[in-house]
Amino acid sequence: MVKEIDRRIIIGISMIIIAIPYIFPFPLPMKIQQSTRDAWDNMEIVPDGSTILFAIDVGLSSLAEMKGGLVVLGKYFIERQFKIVIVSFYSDGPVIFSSYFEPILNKAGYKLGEDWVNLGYISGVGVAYQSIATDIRSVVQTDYYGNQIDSLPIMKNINDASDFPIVVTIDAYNSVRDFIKYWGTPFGVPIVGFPTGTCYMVYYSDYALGLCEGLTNGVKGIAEFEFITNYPGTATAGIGAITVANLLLIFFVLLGNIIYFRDRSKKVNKI
Amino acid sequence: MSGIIKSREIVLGLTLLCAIIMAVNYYVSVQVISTTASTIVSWGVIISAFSVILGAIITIRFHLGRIQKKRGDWLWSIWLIISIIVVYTIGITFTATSYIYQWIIINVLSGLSETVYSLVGLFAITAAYRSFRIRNTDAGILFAVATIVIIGQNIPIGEMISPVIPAFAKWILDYPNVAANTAVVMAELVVATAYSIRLLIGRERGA
Repeated sequence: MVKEIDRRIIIGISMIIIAIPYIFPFPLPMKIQQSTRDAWDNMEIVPDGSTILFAIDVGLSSLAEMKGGLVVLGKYFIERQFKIVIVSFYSDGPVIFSSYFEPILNKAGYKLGEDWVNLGYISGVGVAYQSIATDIRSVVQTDYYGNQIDSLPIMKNINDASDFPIVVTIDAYNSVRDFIKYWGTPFGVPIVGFPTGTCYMVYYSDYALGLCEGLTNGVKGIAEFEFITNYPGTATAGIGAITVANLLLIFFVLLGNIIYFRDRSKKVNKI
Repeated sequence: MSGIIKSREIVLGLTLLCAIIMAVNYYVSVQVISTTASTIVSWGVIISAFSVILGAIITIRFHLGRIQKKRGDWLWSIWLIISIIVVYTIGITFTATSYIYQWIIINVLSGLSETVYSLVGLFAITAAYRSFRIRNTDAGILFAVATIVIIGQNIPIGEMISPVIPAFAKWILDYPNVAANTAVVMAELVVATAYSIRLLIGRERGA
């Protein structure tokens, strides 16, 4: 008979089982969710070569889940020849940009100041979103590398929310909701979010109510986006592990309950 | 003089003034008010930047106190202070865009952060195993709904089992979830408005 299982055994079994799809990948069907399709559709209607705002609001801890999103978005933006204004409302954002996003831009021959600019980290949460929505130059005078933003060609006609045809945010805390509050609702700027799986469930009601234009669901959503854009990457490779991890969670909850009720019925029988 | 500066009324008056300007600016388009509101918002960003420095100082003071009194895991406090000083010094001396700073962030902090985040997932599995008990109907409904949403929306095998599962999961997200979530958000906003009004008229003593 199964007894209460030690926590270390559960962790050990889980680690081994989650590693299997990475060692022996297996194909899984890829049905695109409507929210992912909407994210792509709304980016597709933005004319090629437009200047867009891209917010990197993930922490280093969320990179395991969101790295694929950074890479696929980088490749997609380059394909569409978007000029990109990058900003972070999360302190890790600039470092993540330099390490994972900038190399993609450099490889494609994107030039700092002409094709992209990194405004760096702006503290202040809601106030920061609001301030750059109304007047970027009131808060940011130099970019992350110390260049005067007025000297950069990309910033020539850019100063507030109405200068952007779309905002794309990769998000692990509350960026999508803050953009809706300070950019989407007052200025009518379309918001497309690439949040973590946990945040997706929180934001889903905003998407369903039409407050944001598109939303991807964590690794699965990024894998779907990789599929649509034809840039398979780490999310596509990791979807097997995510599937197994979710199934393990359900399995262990069921197992815990089976053991619990079996033990309880034994106690009742003894009495 | 200091008594006047410290008086609660001045703080309240300034808060009220800023709040009125920001609220009026949202509904009325007047150049003077927009410029003032924009300046207030810029001040907010600057003040919050100072709060980051303040946070670091408070953290260091707290851990120095622990080290002095050799309280709890005080050895970890030493390690924390060393880490803060090293990263701050490198960041200020060589700037955040330097190779050495980036190397520390990517090869040390990133690795550690991702490891902790991944461990949380494994602990979530063990926590669910040990604590989630379907003792009543509510817990049963919760488990059933969670399972359907996980299989139908979070992983791509729902369609393989039956096309009904993703459709049902989407229905759960689109209707009960949106209705409940919207109600919660609206309640939060009403409470936030009430709290703000109490704060502005000086009735909220906890602030």
